[in-house]
Amino acid sequence: MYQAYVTTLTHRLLGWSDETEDVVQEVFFSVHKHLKKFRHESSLKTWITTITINKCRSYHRRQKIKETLMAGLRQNARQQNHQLQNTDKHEQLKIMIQKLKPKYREVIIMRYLEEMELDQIETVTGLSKSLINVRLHRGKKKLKEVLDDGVD
Amino acid sequence: MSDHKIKEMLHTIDKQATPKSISSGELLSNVYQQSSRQKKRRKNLSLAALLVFASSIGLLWIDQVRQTNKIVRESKTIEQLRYEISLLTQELNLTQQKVDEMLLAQRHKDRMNHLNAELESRVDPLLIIKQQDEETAETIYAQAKRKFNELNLKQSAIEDYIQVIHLFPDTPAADKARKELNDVETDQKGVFDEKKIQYSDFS
Repeated sequence: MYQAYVTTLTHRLLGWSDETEDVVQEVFFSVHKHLKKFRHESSLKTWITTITINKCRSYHRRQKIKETLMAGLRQNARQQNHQLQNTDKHEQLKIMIQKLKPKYREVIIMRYLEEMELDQIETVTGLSKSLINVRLHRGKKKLKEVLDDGVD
Repeated sequence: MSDHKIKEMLHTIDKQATPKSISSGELLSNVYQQSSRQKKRRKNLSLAALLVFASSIGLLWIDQVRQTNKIVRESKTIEQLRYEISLLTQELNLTQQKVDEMLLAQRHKDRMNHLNAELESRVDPLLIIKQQDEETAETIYAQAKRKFNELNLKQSAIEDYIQVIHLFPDTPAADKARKELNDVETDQKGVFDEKKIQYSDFS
């Protein structure tokens, strides 16, 4: 029932990554495991969304550790910067979204792709509205910087 | 660039990057497999924990039993040693007693030897007296013989012989005095009748 929704959300939150399948599986495993603990304080969709966000955060943490261990970050960043100069705006935005810190990407995806209101974002992320606004603002600023430079 | 533009672009990108479709059956199967794997892992962990716990208890129990056995063995050894010590003490006391007795006997023996040596070193007073008697008897006899032969005091000489025989009967001088008296009697029969009677009383 929620498979398509979870898959899409995960795909977006991971920056359209190919690792979506594993995270989706983790989400449903967690749902299956903790379903008895669901207290119906919110809708099932909200609960599943929260789980999905948390699983994506865990995935990002794991990825960060992995990347630190592999120590190939600088090389990748250099390649990505190079790519930015030679691609169209959509591609640039995609790469920039992927480059964004997960905490900024998370709120931008929820706000602009999932089209959630601040209240909903607050519910599913557990963040305060002010913090969500700050993150949205900073995320957009970073995106605009790249995109505007490309325009100039 | 406006928010609207960003939103529009994001939607465009999202449409282009469609996620890899996952079949419901596959997902369900994977989730159940993961669940069963986790259950199995938990079960194995529980079993391992139980095994470790049981092993620990077993080891503790074995250790406790060993300790108890050790204590019992040591107690027995201590008892045995105590018993041996008591036996040795008794033996020692007996030996000490025997040694004391032997020392006492040795002291007695030494004392006796000492006394015997002392006794042996002393001269018998009876012998001295006998010797003195013999000397006195000899002197009186010599005087009597001189009186009889040289001074012609025959009567006095005979009285001295009689005195020697009377006072010192068991001496050589007494034997000689008897012989002299016998000779006198033989030579002068009848002269000494009275004396003869007296002499016969002493012989």
